[in-house]
Amino acid sequence: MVAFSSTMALLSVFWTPYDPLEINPDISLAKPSWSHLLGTDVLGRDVLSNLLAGSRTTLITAFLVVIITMSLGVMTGVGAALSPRWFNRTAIYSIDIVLALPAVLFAIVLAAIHGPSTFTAVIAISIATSAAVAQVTRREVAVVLNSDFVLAAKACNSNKLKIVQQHILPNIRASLFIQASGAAAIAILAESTLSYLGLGTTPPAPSWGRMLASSQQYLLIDPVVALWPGLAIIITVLGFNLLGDGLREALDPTLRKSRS
Amino acid sequence: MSDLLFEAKSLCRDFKLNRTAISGARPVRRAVADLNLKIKTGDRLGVVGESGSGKTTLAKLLLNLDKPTSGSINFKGQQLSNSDMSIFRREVQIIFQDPRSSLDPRRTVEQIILEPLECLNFQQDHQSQTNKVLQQVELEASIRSRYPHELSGGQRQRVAIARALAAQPSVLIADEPVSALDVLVREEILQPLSELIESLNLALVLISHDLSVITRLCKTVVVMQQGRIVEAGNTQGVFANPQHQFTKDLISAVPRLPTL
Amino acid sequence: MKFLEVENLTISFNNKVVVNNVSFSVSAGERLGVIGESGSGKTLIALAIIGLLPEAATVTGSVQLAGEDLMALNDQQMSAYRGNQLAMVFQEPLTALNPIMRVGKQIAQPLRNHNNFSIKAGIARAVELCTAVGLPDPEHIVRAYPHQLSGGQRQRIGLAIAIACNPKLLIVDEPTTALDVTVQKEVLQTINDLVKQQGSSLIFISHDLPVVSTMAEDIAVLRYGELVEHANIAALFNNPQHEYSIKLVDLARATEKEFSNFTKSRTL
Repeated sequence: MVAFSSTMALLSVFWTPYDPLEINPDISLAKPSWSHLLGTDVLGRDVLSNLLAGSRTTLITAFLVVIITMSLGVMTGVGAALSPRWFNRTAIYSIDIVLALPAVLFAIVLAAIHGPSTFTAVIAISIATSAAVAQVTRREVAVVLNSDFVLAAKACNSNKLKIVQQHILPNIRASLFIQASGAAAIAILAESTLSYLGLGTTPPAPSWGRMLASSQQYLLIDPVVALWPGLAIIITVLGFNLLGDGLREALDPTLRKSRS
Repeated sequence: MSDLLFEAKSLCRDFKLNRTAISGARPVRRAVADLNLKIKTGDRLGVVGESGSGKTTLAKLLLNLDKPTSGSINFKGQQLSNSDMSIFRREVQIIFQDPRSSLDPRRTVEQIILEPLECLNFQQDHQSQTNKVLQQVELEASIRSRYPHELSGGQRQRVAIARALAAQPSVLIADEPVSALDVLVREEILQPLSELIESLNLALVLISHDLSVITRLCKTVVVMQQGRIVEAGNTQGVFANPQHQFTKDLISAVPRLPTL
Repeated sequence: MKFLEVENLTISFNNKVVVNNVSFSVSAGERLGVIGESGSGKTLIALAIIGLLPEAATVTGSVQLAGEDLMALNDQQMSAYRGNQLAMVFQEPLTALNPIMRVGKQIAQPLRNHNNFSIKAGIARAVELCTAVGLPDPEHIVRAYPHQLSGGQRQRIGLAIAIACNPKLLIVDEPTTALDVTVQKEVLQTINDLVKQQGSSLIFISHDLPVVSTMAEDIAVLRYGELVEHANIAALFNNPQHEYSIKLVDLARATEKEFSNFTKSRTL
C-alpha cells in the first residue's frame, strides 16, 4: 500500500521539475499532439507544461500549509492539554470558534486586505486547518497524559518538557502523520478552490484551480482541457491520503505486531 | 531503629463529580476520608479493599501525585507539599497494576529504566545500574533493546519493578502488582519481589484486593472501605480474628479448594 | 452421545497454530472447567463453539451440539443457535455491552430475536431476569446504561442476557477476573444456581484453579493450545498427571495452606 501511494505522490513530484516550456507560445486550443502532449488552452499555452508548473504551486502550497498548520495546531493542542483547566477550557472554545469559520472566509478577508495571491491562500488555509489539527491533537495528548506511564514519569520527577518530548510526541506521532497528509490533501483542494474562485493564485501564475476556472468557459468547445487539471487534483489528493494511511501502518510497531 | 517515614493525619481527598442538577453545589465523592497512617522503615504494609475503596487514591497521595483536600502527609518529618521533590522521589517509587499501560509503548526497556536515573540525577553510572537492576529482577541484559509489546505480561511487570528500583528507593508502593497476571506468572513475580524487598530492606506498601498476596508479603495490614480504614493490625491477627464485618466478608469470599 | 462434542478442534491464524487438536465433551447438565493461561487458546475454543471466531482464523475439526455439527452451519443458521440454545458471557463486562443501549433492552434482545417477544414482554422478562441474577431494584436497573453500573452489575447483566432464552449450554469466559472478591463470590454463586435451576451445561473458563474448582466437576487443562489433561476434579487434585497440572495444583494448595494458616483461629 505504501509503495503504491508513494508512487502516486512521487509521480506528482516528478512533475515538479521545472519545465522551461512554461512560457506562452501562441497556439490556441490545439488538440493533443506530439509537440503538445495534452493540447493547448485558449491562450495557446501548452496544457502539459501548465499542468507541470501548476503542480509546483500546488505542492509548494501543500508543503507550506502542512508545515504551518501542523506547527500551529500541534503547539496549540499540546499547550492546551498541558495547561491548567481554565486555560484548557478557553483554548477549546477558541478552537471551536475558529473551526466554525470556513477557510474561504479567511481567504476573502485576507484577499480584501492584501489582494489575492498564493500567499494569502496559504495563510487562510493554514489557520482554518490548524484548528482541526489542534482539536484532535489536544484530545490525543489528553489521553496520553492520563496513562500510567506518564504517571510513572512524574513519579520519578520528570518535568513537563521531558514528558512532552519523550512520551507524548512519540505516542501521537502516528496520528500526526495522518493529520499532516490529510492537511496536505485539504490544502490542495482548498488551494484549487480558492484559485478557481479567484481568491488564490493570480494569473499568469499557473495553478490547477485556475486552469479549471479558465477552461470552464470553453467546456463546450473543448472539454478535455478541463479534464487534466481535474484529474491531477484528484490523483494528488488521493495519493496523499493513501500515503498517510500507509505511513501510519508502517510506523506503528504495535499495530504491525498485533497482526500475528 | 525504625525511622518514621510517612505520617498521614486526617487525610481527605474529595473528587468533584459532574453536575447532576443545575443548581446547588457539585456532588462530591469522598475517595479518602479522615485517614491516619504511619509507615516506618522495614514496614510491610498491606492495604486491602475493594475497587473504589480509595486504595489507589491513597497511593497517589503518598506519592504526591495528587493533593489532599484536607489533612496532611509528612515524609521524614517534613510536610510533603513543602518537600523537595527531587529528593523525595528518589526515596519513594511505585509499581503500577497494569503492565500493559504502565510502560510507554514507544520506548525500549533500556530507555524506560534510564528515565528515573536521568530525571533523578542518579550519581553512579547509569548503564551499569540498569544492568544491575535488570539482574535483580532476573531479566537478561538482552531485553534492553526490546519494546514492551514484545514482552510477556510477567516480563513487563518485572521491567516495571526494575524501573521502580533503579534509583534505589527506600520505599516501594505496589498497586496491585500481580492482579493483571496469570496465576503461575504471579508466583514468578512475587517470589523475587519478596526476596528483593528483604535484601534491600525496603519499606513496602502493597495495595491489593487479593488476600493471599497480602498474607504472602505483608506483616501489617489495613482494611479500607469507602475511603476509611475500618480495621488495622498485624496481618496474622486481622485475618485470624477479624473484627469488622467487611473484613469477615472479604475473608469468607476467598474461594476455597474442595476437600477431596 | 454427549450433549456437546468437540473433536480435533484446530484453530490457526496465518499458518500459526494456536489451538492444536483439542477434543472434549460435555454431558447435559454437566459443568466443565477449562483452565489455562492467557494465550493458551481457551477463549478461542469458546468462540469456536459459539461461532464467533475472527475472519482471519482457520478452523478444522467438529463441534457437535446434540448431534448437530455447528461448524457446518452458516452464520444465519448459527444465529438461531446463539443466544438461544447456547450462550456466552464474556470476560470484560464494559466492552461486552452496547454502551448506547439501555441494559433492559439488551437483555430483551435475544428474547425478541429468538422467541418473538414483544418489546413490552421483553422488558418485563428482563426485569425477572435481573432479579434472577441478583440485581437490586430491577425495575430501575433495566433503564440504566452500562456505564452507570458497577463492574459486578454489568457482569450480571451479561449473565442475564446469556440466560434469557434458557440456553442448554452456557459458556462463561473469566467472568469474575475484573471483579472484587466479594462480588466474585456472589456472581459465581448466581451462575451455579442458575445452571442448576435450568439444568444447563456449563463451560467455565478461567486461569484461576481455586475459582474453577468451585464451579465444575470436570476440568480440562489447556496449555499453549494443547489439552494437556482432562480429569474430574477429584482425580486432578489428588493425582495430577501432566507437569503443568501438577504445578497448578501445587500452587493452589500452597496458597490455600498459607492463607489458612493466617485464618485458622478464625471465629465465624
